[in-house]
Amino acid sequence: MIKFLLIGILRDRSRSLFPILTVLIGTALTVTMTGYMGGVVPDMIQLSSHLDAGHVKLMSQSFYENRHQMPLDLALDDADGLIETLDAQFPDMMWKARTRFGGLLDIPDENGETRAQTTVSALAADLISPNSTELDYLNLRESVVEGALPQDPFDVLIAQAMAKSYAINVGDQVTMMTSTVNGSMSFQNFRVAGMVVFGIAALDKGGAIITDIEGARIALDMNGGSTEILGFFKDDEYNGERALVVSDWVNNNLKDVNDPYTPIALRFEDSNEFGAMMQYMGSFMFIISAVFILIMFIVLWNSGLMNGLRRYGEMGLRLAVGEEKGHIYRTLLLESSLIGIIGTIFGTAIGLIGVWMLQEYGIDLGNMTANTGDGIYYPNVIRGKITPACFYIGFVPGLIAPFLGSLVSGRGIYKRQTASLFKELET
Amino acid sequence: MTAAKLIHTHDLVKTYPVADREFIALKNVNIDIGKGEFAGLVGPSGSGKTTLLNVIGSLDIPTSGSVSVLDHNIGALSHKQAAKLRNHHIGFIFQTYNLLPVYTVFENVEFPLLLLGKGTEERKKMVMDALDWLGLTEKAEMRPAQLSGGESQRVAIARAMVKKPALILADEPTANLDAKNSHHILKTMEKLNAELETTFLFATHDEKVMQYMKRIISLEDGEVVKDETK
Repeated sequence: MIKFLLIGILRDRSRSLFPILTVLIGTALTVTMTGYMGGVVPDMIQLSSHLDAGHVKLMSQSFYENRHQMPLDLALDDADGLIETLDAQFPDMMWKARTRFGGLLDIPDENGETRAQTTVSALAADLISPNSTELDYLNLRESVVEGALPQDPFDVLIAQAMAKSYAINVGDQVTMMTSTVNGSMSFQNFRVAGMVVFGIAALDKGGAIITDIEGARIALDMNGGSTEILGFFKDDEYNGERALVVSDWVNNNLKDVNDPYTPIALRFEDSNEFGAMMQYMGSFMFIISAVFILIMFIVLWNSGLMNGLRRYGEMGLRLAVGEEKGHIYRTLLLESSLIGIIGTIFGTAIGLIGVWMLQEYGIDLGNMTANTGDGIYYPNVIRGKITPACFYIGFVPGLIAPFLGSLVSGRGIYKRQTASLFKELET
Repeated sequence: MTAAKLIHTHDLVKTYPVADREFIALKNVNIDIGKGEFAGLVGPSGSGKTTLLNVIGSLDIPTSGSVSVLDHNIGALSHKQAAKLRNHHIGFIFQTYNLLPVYTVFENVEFPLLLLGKGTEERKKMVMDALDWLGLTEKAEMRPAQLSGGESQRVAIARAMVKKPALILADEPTANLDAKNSHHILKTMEKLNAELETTFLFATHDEKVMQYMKRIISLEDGEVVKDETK
């Protein structure tokens, strides 16, 4: 019977072409959306964790509560000691001390007089230790477009866009004016070692400088301290459950409720609303899929009704020769499932081509993502990714929608009067 | 009822509600049709021929009285049982052939066997036998649109007889055919009736068709007014 139905579907274009096209379009869009999200979300997680949140992030309780002010005086005062403890407890993780601070960058002229000043936000990380992996985590090796990587604690990297705005060249000396952890003024000269383009609009278009953490510690008078410690799983794959174990251990074993400087740990999704954002993206995908299913269902329902009218004679004949109504109904469902499978196979193939193009060429949304911030980073060029889900996700709307469509439209067969078949079939 | 009686009706009445009254389509019809008969229900339009075919074919149920086909009480059958009776024992031939246009001649004839759950090889043999019977072997792979009216009706006959039913009901089977094709079709049916002992019951008002009938049951206003065997 399946072969019989398949022959009918393949030969009768008016029975199959429109429903197959509907399923094909719906599944192709679903697969493309899935591949798009499959590329964007991991990229966002990786970039944001590498640049800001880590897989687990430690701060002092007080710093966390006032984190938008970046209060250096509330930083972790013994970050290095804490890292030793964490290294011993979690050998499958790497821990990095980082400090974020802001200040005024003074750019002198050839006589050493102030030529320009601008506010900057600075990130200090271990850039010059022989075994440091920060250069990789911050993607600095690929991001330096002029000059070289820092070799000295007082070398800085400057965003190329800002350097061009203020005519700063590689090798120039600039002065960072800020305050120390104790609140006193700090003036520290840095040499511009290189200029960077991250390919992340939120960083490239802002005033960002990157320096070595030892230089920053001297400038800020915070020996051994840092504003945060980022923990990364060594396989660099974020896992919420594993991260929860780590953050729970820190919060249960290292936290002292009476100490405002006590460290607290946050998982990636607990930092900067990442969890809400990931939930939002999950909900978005669910809603999009539901909308596709609903639209396809309505279209295929109507298509099923039209087909029911067009195939009125066929159904009558089948009833006359002794096919049960229930059997006809089931064959209609089977037929719609076959249409769903055919449409889904072609739709998935087309969707995969779409995802492949997104993966290879991407879409430059740099201007749109320039103002995202607050620790959430996207690459300028958003890329899709062919994930295992792309191969099967289309079958959800592709099979459900035609099945539901036939489930509703096919019920008309039960209203057919066999008593008038002779008359109906002879008109 | 004896086994030889394929169809037995007793005081069969069929009425339909029309506006605020009942329209009487069949009035106390009492007929017996035995195995292997070649009989025709004749009469003008509205005489009740098609209604009687409907009831005998288990497409409809009597309002009162009883109808027995192959020892099945039509009035007591569920939809499923009625479908099963049609599927196994009754073939239908319509005025307009009603072939499935997207399927080949072979596939059209094969369809009732699919419903019976016959195996592939058995189906193939039965279909080819039926097509051979009807002289359609060379047309097996053609679509209905490629056939003449006479050929189409022969395919319809092949579809009706392929499962070797005990009873074939034919409603105006030659109405759309010219005299030559009508003759050919009726001769084919006569041959089937003679060689396979298939019982044929026609509904017709065509004088030419009546000449082939071995028994003519005349209906007028839902009543049997004459029942004569040649």
